[in-house]
Parts: sequence; C-alpha cells; structure tokens
Amino acid sequence: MTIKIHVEDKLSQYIDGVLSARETRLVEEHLAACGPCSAAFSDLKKARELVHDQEEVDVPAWFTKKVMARLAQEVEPEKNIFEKLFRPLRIKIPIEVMATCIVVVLALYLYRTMGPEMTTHVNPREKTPAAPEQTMREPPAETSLPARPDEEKTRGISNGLAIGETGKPAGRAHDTRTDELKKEESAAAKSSEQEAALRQTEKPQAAGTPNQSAAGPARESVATAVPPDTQSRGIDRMAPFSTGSATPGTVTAKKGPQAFSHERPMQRAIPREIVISVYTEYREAATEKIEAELKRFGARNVSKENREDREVFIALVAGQSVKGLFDALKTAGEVRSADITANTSEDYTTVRIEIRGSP
Amino acid sequence: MSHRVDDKGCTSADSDVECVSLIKEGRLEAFEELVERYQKRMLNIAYRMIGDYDEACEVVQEAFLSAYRAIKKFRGDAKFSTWLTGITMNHAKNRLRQIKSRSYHEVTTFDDPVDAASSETVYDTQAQDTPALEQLERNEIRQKVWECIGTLDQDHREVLVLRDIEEFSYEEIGLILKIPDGTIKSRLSRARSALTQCLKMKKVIGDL
Repeated sequence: MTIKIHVEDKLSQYIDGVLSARETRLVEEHLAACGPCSAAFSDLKKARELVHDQEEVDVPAWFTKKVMARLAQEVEPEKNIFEKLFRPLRIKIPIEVMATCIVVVLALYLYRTMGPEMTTHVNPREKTPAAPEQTMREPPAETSLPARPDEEKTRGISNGLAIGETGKPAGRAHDTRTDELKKEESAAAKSSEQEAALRQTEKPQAAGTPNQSAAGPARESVATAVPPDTQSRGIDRMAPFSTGSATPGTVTAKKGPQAFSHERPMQRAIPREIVISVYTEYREAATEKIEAELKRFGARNVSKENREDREVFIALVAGQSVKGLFDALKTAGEVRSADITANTSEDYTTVRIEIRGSP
Repeated sequence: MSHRVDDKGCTSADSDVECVSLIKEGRLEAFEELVERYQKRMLNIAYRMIGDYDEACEVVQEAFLSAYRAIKKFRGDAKFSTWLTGITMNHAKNRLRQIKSRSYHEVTTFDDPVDAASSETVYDTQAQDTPALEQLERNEIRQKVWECIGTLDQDHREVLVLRDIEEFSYEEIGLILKIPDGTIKSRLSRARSALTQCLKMKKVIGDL
C-alpha cells in the first residue's frame, strides 16, 4: 500500500514533469513492467485531461462596472477629504484671498463708522503744520471774525472738533476720546451749576440730531469736545475751532488711521459758529429778550455766560432760523455780525450772541 | 513603456506592473484594466472552488476590492496574477466557511453547471462544430467531472483547480496557498487519485 501510494505520488509528478531525470527513468521502467500501474497512469492522465476540459464560465457584463463603482464609493470619501485639505489650490487660494479682502474691508468700514474718535489737543505753539489745513476749511467770513485770544474763559460748543487747551504743557496732548471723557468725569464734580445745566442740554441735543447731515460730527463733538471743566482747570484760553486761524488752539489729530477716518466728515458738514454782537445799554432787558428769541427760534443747547463786560449766549440754531433770529435781535439793540448767510445752509449752526455795553 | 490612454490609466498593452504603478500613483482608472484582464480567470477559480456562480461573482468582486486596498503591499515579488489569485482563493475559502456555517451548503454539492451559466454564462463555442450526440455526451461527461470535483476535500480541490485547470506552476501554487512544495505534490496526487476513483465510479474512465 505504501509502495502503491508512493508510486501514485510519483505518477502524479511524472505527469507534471517535475521528477528528476533519475526518478523519471525509474518511473518509466516501472510503468513498462507493471500493467496495473500503467493502467492507473492511463486513468490518471485521462482524468487530468477531463478536468482540464471543463468549460469556462464567462463574466457577467456588469462585472467591471460594478467593481469600479464599489471601488469609487470606497475611494471617494478619502479623496474628498484630501481635496478639501490640499487639492483645489487654484480655487481655494482665490477664495481665501477674496474672503480676506472682504474681512479687511468690512473691518475698515466698521472701524470708520463705529471706531473710537481720535482727537488730540495740541498746544497752539506747536501746531503750525496743521494750521494751513485748518484755515482752508474755514469759510472766509469766519476767518474775519474777531479773535478772542484774551478771553479768560470761554466755552467751546461743539463743532465736531475737540477744543484745544492752550494752557497745557506741550507734552500733555491727549489723543483719545477716552482721555477726554475721563477728564470730563474728573472735573464734573468741580464744575459750576451753569456747566451742569449745559451738560443736561447737551444730552438731548446728541439724541436729537441723528437725522441731519451734520448729525454725526455734531453728536461726537457734544460727547467729546465739551470740557465742562475749563474754568476749574484754569485754562487761560479756549476757543472753538470755527474761529479759524485766529484760534489756533484746536487741532484735529492727523495720526494714523484715525486721521483717515476723520477727515471726510469734517469736510462734509461741520457746523460753523456765527458770532452776533448786540450792543445795548439795557443789558438785562436784552438778555431776557435774547433768551426769549432763542426759545422762539427753537435754539438748542443754549448756554449763557455772565462776564464782566458782556453776556454771552451760545446755542445751536437751525440754519434757516439764523436770519430770523438775527433780525429779531435787532429789537434788543444794535446788532453786528459777520455774514450770517454764510452758514445758513447748515442744518444746525452754533450761534454765539454777545451782549456788550457799547460798540 | 507602452502608450497609455489617459482616461483609463493603462491599456492592454501595458504590463501588470505598469498598471500597478499607476494605481499606486492614485490612478483608479488603471485598476479597471486589471479587472478586465483577470476577472474571467478569477471568476472561474472561485466558481470551481465554491460551485455557485453568484457566490463566485460576489467573491471575485470582494477579491478585487481587497486587491485594490492592498495594492501598496504588492511589491512585485510574484506575478500580479499569482498575488490576485491568492486573494481570490482566500475570499473563496472564507465564503465556503460561511456557507458551511449556516448550513446553506451541505458538504460540497456544486450547482449544475448548466444552471449556473444559464443566463449570464457563455460557454465555449468550441463545440459548435461537433455533432449533437457527441456534444451531448461531452456535456454529460463534463457534468460528471464537475460533480467529482465537488466531492473533493477543499485542500485537494484547490490544488487540483490551480494545477489542472488553471495550470499554475508548483511554485506559484506554493505562493498562492502558502504551502510547501511537498504538500502541494502530495495533495495534488491525492486529489487526482480521488478524482480518478470518482470518475471510475461514474464510469467516465476505466473499464467502460
């Protein structure tokens, strides 16, 4: 049996031709001598041929497509992740650049519309570079107004600009609105009743002018540029910006982006100040009359200062009412003023009325 | 390097190794050529092993998918066809185990080859010129051989299929089945002997 199995193994290998030459010769000799072995070899050979003759099955027509579809399903998610991260650079980079630009533009826009106002107070002696620019913006009528460098104290009503403090040392310029507000707060306790009243009137004004073209700057100036502590801090001179070159104490900061954001509103609509001088011997009567007229013409933010030689009213008057007010004041005394029509186009104009004893 | 068609990645003129290189570079289309090249052979191997045409189709699909996933492991030590056949054989054997475990397939009863190929299988047209009686007899013999292959143990059947039907060399069978040369020889000898006995029993060979 062992021999038989051994011979069968050799016959199988003999069919495949994998025996060595010696083994092949031995098998051939054995097959020639052994009839049953020869018959077995013949059957084995026949069986092998029959197995080999088995028909092949064909592949269904859909096979390749199905395999590739399944493969694509598997591969697709990987590819998507890869593409998301790295692949479509030609699309991704422009999109990212555009997105960055949009963000930057949006940020600039927001900064310009909502950002903090940057103003500074510069000692007028240092301010020479800004002066020409300032004078360019001043209407000629205003530059001709009498300067008041000798005023001991005055109140600058908002013109959309900060008010300079000429008495301060050069190094103490303040740049931000925050500083301004802090100063306001610290000085508030010391301020006079008149100044407190003024602040009360300023608030409604700030809220009351949002729809007007000059509303933005005006509002800003009310909030930022009216230091109620001028008297208490012993400031020698103070004048509103609108007095032009004669009052060099006020400068708008031209530093960095704030200067950029601040420039256009100034040029667009800054209420100017009209100074009307009323000369009368009856100062008290004129004061009452002027108060009544200011009320009649809807003046806002009315402040009054009582000085030795004159009574000063400062108020915001609607542009179209200035002329009427001017005429009405003629009943209180002799009225002198610069060209009042120069500023009547403004929605609200700061009007300064000074009651003096004699011309 | 032969010419390539862009939309397919590699063509029938390219060698297996060239196609595999393209696939490794991420050219999925190149794999399609290899599928078309080897699908029939793999399907026949799987069909001989499992005896069920639909199961064989499923197994070969899985085998191709596995081959694609593992393509980076193919270093070219063996022929691609050998490597792919090994994967197909593994899938076929796994499928047989599943079939047995759910008692779906008792022992190994192969499908009727005619039924299996009824709609989708195209037989060799070699017999078209032969007389009808001879063709009928030939189909009958094929059926019996098919049945006898089905009676073989899995270990014996796989070496018989690979050697006597697919004509792989001993060395290739060793790579496919990961068994030593001596084991192949002995299994093949027993497989042939058992098949011969079966065919004798069915009076296909021997003293008719």
